[in-house]
Amino acid sequence: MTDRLPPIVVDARRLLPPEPMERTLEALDEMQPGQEVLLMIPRQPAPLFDMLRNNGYAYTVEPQPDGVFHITIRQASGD
Amino acid sequence: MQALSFEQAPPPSVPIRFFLTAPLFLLLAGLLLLVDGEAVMASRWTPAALALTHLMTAGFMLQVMLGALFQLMPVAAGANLWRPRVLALPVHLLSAIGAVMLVAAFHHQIAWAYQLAVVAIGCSVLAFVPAGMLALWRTPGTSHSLIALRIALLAFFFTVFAGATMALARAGLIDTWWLRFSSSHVALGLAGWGCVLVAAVGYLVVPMFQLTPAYPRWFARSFAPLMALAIGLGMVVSHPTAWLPLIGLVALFAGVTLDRQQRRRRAKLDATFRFWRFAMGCVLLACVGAVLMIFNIGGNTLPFAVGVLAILGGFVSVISGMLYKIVPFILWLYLQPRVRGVPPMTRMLNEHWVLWHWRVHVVMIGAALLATVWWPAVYLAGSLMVVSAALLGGQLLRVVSRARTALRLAQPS
Repeated sequence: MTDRLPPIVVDARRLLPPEPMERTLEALDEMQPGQEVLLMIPRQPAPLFDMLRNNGYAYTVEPQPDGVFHITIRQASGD
Repeated sequence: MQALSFEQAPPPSVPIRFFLTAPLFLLLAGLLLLVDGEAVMASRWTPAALALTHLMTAGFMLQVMLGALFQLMPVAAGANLWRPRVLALPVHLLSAIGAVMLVAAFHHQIAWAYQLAVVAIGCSVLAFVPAGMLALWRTPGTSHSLIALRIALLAFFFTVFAGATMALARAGLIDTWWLRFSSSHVALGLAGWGCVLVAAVGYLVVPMFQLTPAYPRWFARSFAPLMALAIGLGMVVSHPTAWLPLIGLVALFAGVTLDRQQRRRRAKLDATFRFWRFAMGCVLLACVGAVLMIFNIGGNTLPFAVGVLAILGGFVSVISGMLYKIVPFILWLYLQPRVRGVPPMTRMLNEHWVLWHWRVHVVMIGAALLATVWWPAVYLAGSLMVVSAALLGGQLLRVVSRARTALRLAQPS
Protein backbone atom coordinates (compact mmCIF):
# COMPACT_ATOMS: atom_id res chain seq x y z
CA MET A 1 0.00 0.00 0.00
CA THR A 2 1.40 3.42 -0.95
CA ASP A 3 0.90 6.65 0.97
CA ARG A 4 -1.41 9.11 -0.74
CA LEU A 5 0.27 12.32 -1.84
CA PRO A 6 -0.91 15.37 0.12
CA PRO A 7 -3.30 17.59 -1.83
CA ILE A 8 -2.00 20.60 -3.73
CA VAL A 9 -3.52 23.56 -1.87
CA VAL A 10 -4.66 26.64 -3.80
CA ASP A 11 -5.47 29.41 -1.32
CA ALA A 12 -7.62 31.80 -3.36
CA ARG A 13 -9.26 33.58 -0.43
CA ARG A 14 -7.69 36.91 -1.37
CA LEU A 15 -7.41 36.50 -5.14
CA LEU A 16 -9.52 38.30 -7.72
CA PRO A 17 -11.18 36.45 -10.63
CA PRO A 18 -9.92 34.83 -12.76
CA GLU A 19 -6.69 34.24 -10.76
CA PRO A 20 -8.24 31.44 -8.65
CA MET A 21 -9.12 29.61 -11.87
CA GLU A 22 -5.69 30.26 -13.39
CA ARG A 23 -3.93 28.90 -10.26
CA THR A 24 -6.29 25.91 -10.05
CA LEU A 25 -5.65 25.00 -13.69
CA GLU A 26 -1.89 25.19 -13.05
CA ALA A 27 -2.34 22.91 -10.01
CA LEU A 28 -4.37 20.42 -12.07
CA ASP A 29 -1.50 20.28 -14.59
CA GLU A 30 0.92 19.42 -11.75
CA MET A 31 -1.42 16.91 -10.05
CA GLN A 32 -0.07 13.32 -9.86
CA PRO A 33 -2.32 10.25 -10.35
CA GLY A 34 -4.44 9.77 -7.23
CA GLN A 35 -3.59 13.22 -5.91
CA GLU A 36 -6.18 15.95 -5.21
CA VAL A 37 -6.28 19.72 -5.46
CA LEU A 38 -7.82 21.63 -2.54
CA LEU A 39 -9.11 25.07 -3.54
CA MET A 40 -10.07 27.51 -0.78
CA ILE A 41 -12.28 30.30 -2.15
CA PRO A 42 -14.90 32.68 -0.69
CA ARG A 43 -17.57 31.88 -3.35
CA GLN A 44 -18.73 28.97 -5.49
CA PRO A 45 -16.68 29.39 -8.71
CA ALA A 46 -19.28 28.55 -11.38
CA PRO A 47 -16.97 28.97 -14.41
CA LEU A 48 -14.46 26.57 -12.83
CA PHE A 49 -17.21 24.00 -12.14
CA ASP A 50 -18.27 24.19 -15.81
CA MET A 51 -14.67 23.67 -16.90
CA LEU A 52 -14.09 20.76 -14.48
CA ARG A 53 -17.23 18.91 -15.61
CA ASN A 54 -16.26 19.32 -19.25
CA ASN A 55 -12.71 18.03 -18.69
CA GLY A 56 -13.26 14.84 -16.73
CA TYR A 57 -12.71 16.04 -13.17
CA ALA A 58 -14.89 15.33 -10.14
CA TYR A 59 -15.22 17.75 -7.25
CA THR A 60 -16.84 18.13 -3.86
CA VAL A 61 -17.81 21.40 -2.22
CA GLU A 62 -17.63 21.87 1.55
CA PRO A 63 -18.89 25.20 2.93
CA GLN A 64 -16.89 26.34 5.96
CA PRO A 65 -18.30 28.29 8.94
CA ASP A 66 -16.30 31.41 7.93
CA GLY A 67 -18.05 31.60 4.52
CA VAL A 68 -15.14 30.07 2.60
CA PHE A 69 -15.73 27.03 0.35
CA HIS A 70 -13.28 24.11 0.30
CA ILE A 71 -13.40 22.52 -3.14
CA THR A 72 -11.63 19.19 -3.52
CA ILE A 73 -10.85 18.21 -7.12
CA ARG A 74 -9.70 14.83 -8.46
CA GLN A 75 -9.69 12.92 -11.74
CA ALA A 76 -13.22 11.55 -12.29
CA SER A 77 -11.84 8.19 -13.48
CA GLY A 78 -10.14 7.70 -10.11
CA ASP A 79 -13.50 7.54 -8.29
CA MET B 1 -23.90 33.77 -2.45
CA GLN B 2 -25.88 32.96 -5.57
CA ALA B 3 -24.37 30.57 -8.08
CA LEU B 4 -23.59 31.76 -11.58
CA SER B 5 -23.78 29.59 -14.66
CA PHE B 6 -21.42 30.66 -17.40
CA GLU B 7 -22.37 27.71 -19.59
CA GLN B 8 -25.57 29.64 -20.33
CA ALA B 9 -23.64 32.76 -21.37
CA PRO B 10 -24.34 34.16 -24.86
CA PRO B 11 -21.42 34.46 -27.34
CA PRO B 12 -19.16 37.36 -26.21
CA SER B 13 -20.02 39.33 -29.36
CA VAL B 14 -23.56 39.81 -27.98
CA PRO B 15 -22.78 41.98 -24.92
CA ILE B 16 -19.54 43.40 -26.29
CA ARG B 17 -21.14 45.07 -29.31
CA PHE B 18 -23.16 47.20 -26.83
CA PHE B 19 -20.15 47.82 -24.55
CA LEU B 20 -17.96 49.04 -27.42
CA THR B 21 -20.65 51.44 -28.68
CA ALA B 22 -21.17 53.11 -25.30
CA PRO B 23 -17.92 55.19 -25.15
CA LEU B 24 -18.88 56.81 -28.48
CA PHE B 25 -21.86 58.43 -26.75
CA LEU B 26 -19.61 59.70 -23.96
CA LEU B 27 -17.31 61.13 -26.64
CA LEU B 28 -20.26 62.90 -28.30
CA ALA B 29 -21.36 64.26 -24.90
CA GLY B 30 -17.87 65.72 -24.35
CA LEU B 31 -17.89 67.28 -27.82
CA LEU B 32 -21.34 68.77 -27.19
CA LEU B 33 -20.03 70.40 -24.01
CA LEU B 34 -17.14 71.90 -25.98
CA VAL B 35 -19.36 73.17 -28.80
CA ASP B 36 -22.42 74.23 -26.82
CA GLY B 37 -21.26 74.51 -23.21
CA GLU B 38 -22.79 77.90 -22.48
CA ALA B 39 -26.25 76.79 -23.68
CA VAL B 40 -26.00 73.54 -21.73
CA MET B 41 -25.33 75.41 -18.50
CA ALA B 42 -28.01 78.09 -19.07
CA SER B 43 -30.84 75.83 -17.83
CA ARG B 44 -31.40 72.10 -17.50
CA TRP B 45 -34.36 72.46 -19.89
CA THR B 46 -32.43 74.03 -22.80
CA PRO B 47 -32.34 71.90 -25.98
CA ALA B 48 -28.58 71.50 -25.53
CA ALA B 49 -28.91 70.38 -21.88
CA LEU B 50 -31.61 67.83 -22.77
CA ALA B 51 -29.46 66.59 -25.65
CA LEU B 52 -26.50 66.19 -23.29
CA THR B 53 -28.54 64.35 -20.64
CA HIS B 54 -29.86 61.89 -23.22
CA LEU B 55 -26.42 61.28 -24.75
CA MET B 56 -25.44 59.97 -21.34
CA THR B 57 -28.68 58.18 -20.39
CA ALA B 58 -30.30 56.97 -23.63
CA GLY B 59 -26.84 56.66 -25.23
CA PHE B 60 -24.00 55.63 -22.91
CA MET B 61 -26.00 54.11 -20.06
CA LEU B 62 -28.63 52.34 -22.18
CA GLN B 63 -26.02 50.63 -24.37
CA VAL B 64 -24.15 49.22 -21.38
CA MET B 65 -27.34 48.27 -19.54
CA LEU B 66 -28.73 46.36 -22.51
CA GLY B 67 -25.41 44.57 -23.04
CA ALA B 68 -25.26 43.73 -19.33
CA LEU B 69 -28.79 42.29 -19.41
CA PHE B 70 -27.99 40.05 -22.38
CA GLN B 71 -25.06 38.68 -20.36
CA LEU B 72 -26.52 38.69 -16.88
CA MET B 73 -30.01 37.28 -17.39
CA PRO B 74 -28.79 33.81 -18.39
CA VAL B 75 -25.63 33.81 -16.26
CA ALA B 76 -27.03 35.17 -12.99
CA ALA B 77 -30.69 34.25 -13.16
CA GLY B 78 -30.76 31.25 -15.52
CA ALA B 79 -33.16 33.23 -17.74
CA ASN B 80 -32.26 32.30 -21.31
CA LEU B 81 -33.22 34.83 -23.95
CA TRP B 82 -34.58 33.57 -27.24
CA ARG B 83 -31.71 33.46 -29.79
CA PRO B 84 -29.57 36.18 -28.17
CA ARG B 85 -27.34 36.61 -31.22
CA VAL B 86 -30.32 37.19 -33.53
CA LEU B 87 -32.06 39.44 -31.00
CA ALA B 88 -28.98 41.53 -30.18
CA LEU B 89 -28.51 42.86 -33.71
CA PRO B 90 -31.81 44.79 -34.07
CA VAL B 91 -31.88 45.78 -30.38
CA HIS B 92 -28.37 47.21 -30.64
CA LEU B 93 -28.79 49.02 -33.96
CA LEU B 94 -32.24 50.44 -33.19
CA SER B 95 -31.33 51.61 -29.69
CA ALA B 96 -28.13 53.29 -30.92
CA ILE B 97 -29.79 54.94 -33.94
CA GLY B 98 -32.77 55.94 -31.78
CA ALA B 99 -30.51 57.59 -29.20
CA VAL B 100 -28.69 59.60 -31.91
CA MET B 101 -32.06 60.68 -33.39
CA LEU B 102 -33.37 61.67 -29.96
CA VAL B 103 -30.31 63.80 -29.25
CA ALA B 104 -30.57 65.44 -32.69
CA ALA B 105 -34.27 66.09 -32.05
CA PHE B 106 -33.60 67.74 -28.70
CA HIS B 107 -30.68 69.78 -29.98
CA HIS B 108 -32.25 71.08 -33.18
CA GLN B 109 -35.94 70.75 -32.18
CA ILE B 110 -36.79 68.66 -35.27
CA ALA B 111 -40.26 67.07 -35.17
CA TRP B 112 -39.45 64.21 -37.57
CA ALA B 113 -36.33 63.32 -35.59
CA TYR B 114 -38.47 62.92 -32.43
CA GLN B 115 -40.77 60.60 -34.39
CA LEU B 116 -37.88 58.57 -35.79
CA ALA B 117 -36.35 58.31 -32.32
CA VAL B 118 -39.64 57.05 -30.85
CA VAL B 119 -40.01 54.48 -33.65
CA ALA B 120 -36.40 53.25 -33.37
CA ILE B 121 -36.17 53.08 -29.56
CA GLY B 122 -39.77 51.83 -29.39
CA CYS B 123 -39.00 48.94 -31.81
CA SER B 124 -35.84 48.14 -29.86
CA VAL B 125 -37.84 47.97 -26.61
CA LEU B 126 -40.64 45.96 -28.23
CA ALA B 127 -38.05 43.46 -29.45
CA PHE B 128 -36.15 43.22 -26.17
CA VAL B 129 -38.60 43.71 -23.31
CA PRO B 130 -41.13 40.94 -24.21
CA ALA B 131 -38.25 38.49 -24.84
CA GLY B 132 -36.67 39.51 -21.53
CA MET B 133 -39.97 39.33 -19.63
CA LEU B 134 -40.70 35.88 -21.05
CA ALA B 135 -37.24 34.62 -20.06
CA LEU B 136 -37.39 36.16 -16.56
CA TRP B 137 -40.96 35.06 -15.76
CA ARG B 138 -40.47 31.52 -17.07
CA THR B 139 -37.43 31.10 -14.85
CA PRO B 140 -38.36 29.44 -11.57
CA GLY B 141 -36.76 30.75 -8.42
CA THR B 142 -36.86 33.73 -6.16
CA SER B 143 -33.21 34.85 -6.18
CA HIS B 144 -32.67 38.48 -5.26
CA SER B 145 -31.10 39.24 -8.63
CA LEU B 146 -33.98 37.60 -10.52
CA ILE B 147 -36.57 39.73 -8.70
CA ALA B 148 -34.48 42.90 -9.14
CA LEU B 149 -34.04 42.15 -12.86
CA ARG B 150 -37.81 41.76 -13.31
CA ILE B 151 -38.48 45.09 -11.61
CA ALA B 152 -35.70 46.83 -13.58
CA LEU B 153 -37.05 45.55 -16.89
CA LEU B 154 -40.60 46.73 -16.08
CA ALA B 155 -39.22 50.13 -15.07
CA PHE B 156 -37.27 50.27 -18.36
CA PHE B 157 -40.49 49.71 -20.33
CA PHE B 158 -42.35 52.46 -18.47
CA THR B 159 -39.35 54.84 -18.69
CA VAL B 160 -39.38 54.53 -22.47
CA PHE B 161 -43.18 54.75 -22.60
CA ALA B 162 -43.19 58.00 -20.58
CA GLY B 163 -40.25 59.32 -22.63
CA ALA B 164 -41.94 58.44 -25.92
CA THR B 165 -45.14 60.29 -24.99
CA MET B 166 -43.13 63.38 -24.04
CA ALA B 167 -41.11 63.18 -27.29
CA LEU B 168 -44.32 62.94 -29.32
CA ALA B 169 -45.77 65.88 -27.36
CA ARG B 170 -42.63 67.89 -28.18
CA ALA B 171 -43.05 66.92 -31.83
CA GLY B 172 -46.58 68.35 -31.70
CA LEU B 173 -48.27 65.01 -32.38
CA ILE B 174 -50.02 64.62 -29.03
CA ASP B 175 -51.19 66.97 -26.31
CA THR B 176 -48.60 68.79 -24.20
CA TRP B 177 -50.46 67.40 -21.14
CA TRP B 178 -48.10 64.43 -21.40
CA LEU B 179 -45.08 66.62 -20.60
CA ARG B 180 -46.07 66.55 -16.91
CA PHE B 181 -44.55 63.06 -16.63
CA SER B 182 -40.97 64.31 -16.60
CA SER B 183 -40.45 63.59 -12.85
CA SER B 184 -41.87 60.08 -13.27
CA HIS B 185 -39.68 59.54 -16.35
CA VAL B 186 -36.57 60.55 -14.38
CA ALA B 187 -37.51 58.44 -11.32
CA LEU B 188 -38.39 55.39 -13.41
CA GLY B 189 -35.26 55.72 -15.53
CA LEU B 190 -32.59 56.58 -12.98
CA ALA B 191 -33.98 54.78 -9.91
CA GLY B 192 -36.24 51.99 -11.21
CA TRP B 193 -34.26 50.97 -14.26
CA GLY B 194 -30.78 52.30 -13.48
CA CYS B 195 -30.29 51.90 -9.75
CA VAL B 196 -32.22 48.60 -9.44
CA LEU B 197 -30.19 47.13 -12.31
CA VAL B 198 -26.94 48.32 -10.68
CA ALA B 199 -28.13 46.59 -7.48
CA ALA B 200 -29.00 43.35 -9.34
CA VAL B 201 -25.51 43.40 -10.87
CA GLY B 202 -23.89 44.59 -7.65
CA TYR B 203 -25.23 41.68 -5.55
CA LEU B 204 -23.12 39.42 -7.75
CA VAL B 205 -20.12 41.40 -8.92
CA VAL B 206 -19.23 43.51 -5.88
CA PRO B 207 -18.44 40.46 -3.66
CA MET B 208 -16.87 38.63 -6.61
CA PHE B 209 -14.63 41.32 -8.09
CA GLN B 210 -13.98 43.45 -5.01
CA LEU B 211 -13.65 40.59 -2.48
CA THR B 212 -16.25 42.02 -0.11
CA PRO B 213 -18.77 40.14 2.03
CA ALA B 214 -22.12 39.51 0.29
CA TYR B 215 -24.87 42.15 0.56
CA PRO B 216 -26.97 41.49 3.70
CA ARG B 217 -29.91 39.17 2.99
CA TRP B 218 -32.49 41.57 4.45
CA PHE B 219 -31.24 44.28 2.11
CA ALA B 220 -30.94 42.22 -1.08
CA ARG B 221 -34.39 40.68 -0.50
CA SER B 222 -36.27 43.92 0.05
CA PHE B 223 -34.39 46.64 -1.84
CA ALA B 224 -35.85 46.23 -5.36
CA PRO B 225 -39.50 45.70 -4.26
CA LEU B 226 -39.26 48.71 -1.91
CA MET B 227 -37.80 50.81 -4.75
CA ALA B 228 -40.82 49.85 -6.91
CA LEU B 229 -43.20 50.89 -4.11
CA ALA B 230 -41.34 54.17 -3.50
CA ILE B 231 -41.46 55.07 -7.21
CA GLY B 232 -45.19 54.27 -7.24
CA LEU B 233 -45.70 56.51 -4.21
CA GLY B 234 -43.86 59.42 -5.80
CA MET B 235 -45.85 59.06 -9.02
CA VAL B 236 -49.25 58.79 -7.32
CA VAL B 237 -48.91 61.45 -4.60
CA SER B 238 -48.57 64.84 -6.25
CA HIS B 239 -46.33 66.39 -3.62
CA PRO B 240 -42.54 66.61 -3.92
CA THR B 241 -42.02 65.14 -0.43
CA ALA B 242 -43.51 61.85 -1.71
CA TRP B 243 -40.12 61.25 -3.41
CA LEU B 244 -38.28 61.24 -0.06
CA PRO B 245 -38.61 57.45 0.57
CA LEU B 246 -37.13 56.79 -2.88
CA ILE B 247 -34.18 59.10 -2.22
CA GLY B 248 -33.68 57.41 1.17
CA LEU B 249 -33.57 53.96 -0.44
CA VAL B 250 -31.03 55.05 -3.06
CA ALA B 251 -28.86 56.52 -0.28
CA LEU B 252 -29.24 53.24 1.64
CA PHE B 253 -27.95 51.28 -1.37
CA ALA B 254 -24.92 53.57 -1.59
CA GLY B 255 -24.33 53.29 2.16
CA VAL B 256 -24.59 49.48 2.22
CA THR B 257 -22.23 49.23 -0.78
CA LEU B 258 -19.67 51.50 0.91
CA ASP B 259 -19.97 49.39 4.06
CA ARG B 260 -19.33 46.21 2.01
CA GLN B 261 -16.28 47.87 0.46
CA GLN B 262 -14.93 48.85 3.90
CA ARG B 263 -15.05 45.16 4.88
CA ARG B 264 -13.12 43.92 1.83
CA ARG B 265 -10.64 41.09 2.30
CA ARG B 266 -7.93 42.63 0.13
CA ALA B 267 -5.90 45.73 0.92
CA LYS B 268 -4.87 46.60 -2.66
CA LEU B 269 -7.21 49.05 -4.39
CA ASP B 270 -7.78 48.58 -8.11
CA ALA B 271 -9.52 50.92 -10.53
CA THR B 272 -12.90 49.16 -10.31
CA PHE B 273 -12.91 49.50 -6.53
CA ARG B 274 -11.99 53.18 -6.80
CA PHE B 275 -14.67 53.88 -9.45
CA TRP B 276 -17.36 52.18 -7.32
CA ARG B 277 -16.36 53.87 -4.08
CA PHE B 278 -16.27 57.26 -5.80
CA ALA B 279 -19.66 56.53 -7.40
CA MET B 280 -21.28 55.70 -4.07
CA GLY B 281 -19.90 58.91 -2.51
CA CYS B 282 -21.35 60.91 -5.43
CA VAL B 283 -24.72 59.14 -5.05
CA LEU B 284 -24.87 60.03 -1.35
CA LEU B 285 -24.14 63.69 -2.17
CA ALA B 286 -26.75 63.60 -4.97
CA CYS B 287 -29.32 62.30 -2.46
CA VAL B 288 -28.53 65.15 -0.05
CA GLY B 289 -28.88 67.60 -2.96
CA ALA B 290 -32.18 66.04 -4.05
CA VAL B 291 -33.62 66.42 -0.53
CA LEU B 292 -32.57 70.10 -0.47
CA MET B 293 -34.24 70.55 -3.90
CA ILE B 294 -37.49 69.14 -2.55
CA PHE B 295 -37.48 71.81 0.16
CA ASN B 296 -36.57 74.54 -2.36
CA ILE B 297 -33.11 75.09 -0.90
CA GLY B 298 -30.09 75.66 -3.14
CA GLY B 299 -31.50 77.76 -5.99
CA ASN B 300 -31.22 77.04 -9.70
CA THR B 301 -27.74 75.57 -9.68
CA LEU B 302 -28.55 72.67 -7.35
CA PRO B 303 -30.56 70.57 -9.87
CA PHE B 304 -27.55 70.72 -12.21
CA ALA B 305 -25.18 69.61 -9.47
CA VAL B 306 -27.53 66.75 -8.51
CA GLY B 307 -27.67 65.68 -12.17
CA VAL B 308 -23.86 65.76 -12.47
CA LEU B 309 -23.46 63.77 -9.23
CA ALA B 310 -26.13 61.18 -10.07
CA ILE B 311 -25.49 60.58 -13.78
CA LEU B 312 -21.79 61.33 -14.24
CA GLY B 313 -20.64 60.69 -10.69
CA GLY B 314 -22.91 57.71 -9.99
CA PHE B 315 -23.81 55.84 -13.16
CA VAL B 316 -20.88 56.69 -15.44
CA SER B 317 -18.42 55.84 -12.64
CA VAL B 318 -20.07 52.51 -11.77
CA ILE B 319 -20.33 51.54 -15.43
CA SER B 320 -16.71 52.47 -16.21
CA GLY B 321 -15.45 50.49 -13.23
CA MET B 322 -17.55 47.48 -14.14
CA LEU B 323 -16.62 47.48 -17.83
CA TYR B 324 -12.95 47.19 -16.86
CA LYS B 325 -13.77 43.91 -15.10
CA ILE B 326 -16.49 42.27 -17.15
CA VAL B 327 -15.17 42.83 -20.68
CA PRO B 328 -11.78 41.15 -19.99
CA PHE B 329 -13.51 38.49 -17.85
CA ILE B 330 -16.10 37.57 -20.49
CA LEU B 331 -13.39 37.27 -23.16
CA TRP B 332 -10.99 35.42 -20.85
CA LEU B 333 -13.69 32.85 -20.05
CA TYR B 334 -14.46 32.45 -23.75
CA LEU B 335 -10.78 31.92 -24.61
CA GLN B 336 -9.99 29.58 -21.72
CA PRO B 337 -11.30 26.30 -23.23
CA ARG B 338 -10.33 27.29 -26.78
CA VAL B 339 -6.79 28.61 -26.50
CA ARG B 340 -3.73 27.13 -24.80
CA GLY B 341 -1.81 29.72 -22.81
CA VAL B 342 -4.53 32.36 -22.58
CA PRO B 343 -2.98 35.74 -21.68
CA PRO B 344 -3.59 36.59 -17.98
CA MET B 345 -6.68 38.76 -17.64
CA THR B 346 -4.76 41.53 -15.92
CA ARG B 347 -2.49 41.87 -18.96
CA MET B 348 -5.40 42.27 -21.37
CA LEU B 349 -5.81 45.80 -19.95
CA ASN B 350 -3.13 48.38 -19.34
CA GLU B 351 -3.66 49.04 -15.61
CA HIS B 352 -1.60 52.22 -15.83
CA TRP B 353 -3.99 53.81 -18.33
CA VAL B 354 -7.04 52.55 -16.46
CA LEU B 355 -5.80 54.34 -13.35
CA TRP B 356 -5.23 57.47 -15.40
CA HIS B 357 -8.81 57.22 -16.64
CA TRP B 358 -10.02 57.18 -13.04
CA ARG B 359 -7.99 60.33 -12.23
CA VAL B 360 -9.25 62.15 -15.34
CA HIS B 361 -12.81 61.05 -14.53
CA VAL B 362 -12.65 62.45 -10.99
CA VAL B 363 -11.26 65.80 -12.17
CA MET B 364 -13.88 65.88 -14.96
CA ILE B 365 -16.68 65.58 -12.40
CA GLY B 366 -15.05 68.27 -10.26
CA ALA B 367 -14.95 70.54 -13.34
CA ALA B 368 -18.59 69.76 -14.17
CA LEU B 369 -19.63 70.66 -10.61
CA LEU B 370 -17.60 73.88 -10.81
CA ALA B 371 -19.37 74.67 -14.09
CA THR B 372 -22.72 74.71 -12.27
CA VAL B 373 -21.59 77.89 -10.49
CA TRP B 374 -19.02 79.19 -13.00
CA TRP B 375 -20.05 78.13 -16.49
CA PRO B 376 -16.70 78.56 -18.36
CA ALA B 377 -15.44 75.48 -16.44
CA VAL B 378 -17.74 73.51 -18.76
CA TYR B 379 -15.00 73.57 -21.40
CA LEU B 380 -12.57 71.86 -19.04
CA ALA B 381 -15.27 69.29 -18.19
CA GLY B 382 -15.95 68.73 -21.92
CA SER B 383 -12.26 68.27 -22.75
CA LEU B 384 -11.79 65.81 -19.90
CA MET B 385 -14.92 63.91 -20.93
CA VAL B 386 -13.47 63.47 -24.42
CA VAL B 387 -10.23 62.18 -22.88
CA SER B 388 -12.21 59.89 -20.54
CA ALA B 389 -14.21 58.41 -23.42
CA ALA B 390 -11.03 57.89 -25.46
CA LEU B 391 -9.27 56.15 -22.56
CA LEU B 392 -12.26 53.88 -21.84
CA GLY B 393 -12.90 53.05 -25.50
CA GLY B 394 -9.17 52.56 -26.16
CA GLN B 395 -8.78 50.07 -23.32
CA LEU B 396 -11.90 48.10 -24.29
CA LEU B 397 -10.66 47.90 -27.89
CA ARG B 398 -7.27 46.74 -26.61
CA VAL B 399 -8.91 43.86 -24.69
CA VAL B 400 -10.96 42.79 -27.71
CA SER B 401 -7.95 43.03 -30.00
CA ARG B 402 -5.81 40.88 -27.63
CA ALA B 403 -8.56 38.27 -27.42
CA ARG B 404 -8.89 38.18 -31.21
CA THR B 405 -5.13 37.78 -31.61
CA ALA B 406 -5.02 34.92 -29.08
CA LEU B 407 -7.89 33.17 -30.87
CA ARG B 408 -6.29 33.64 -34.30
CA LEU B 409 -2.92 32.28 -33.15
CA ALA B 410 -4.65 29.23 -31.64
CA GLN B 411 -6.45 28.28 -34.84
CA PRO B 412 -4.61 25.90 -37.16
CA SER B 413 -3.54 27.66 -40.37
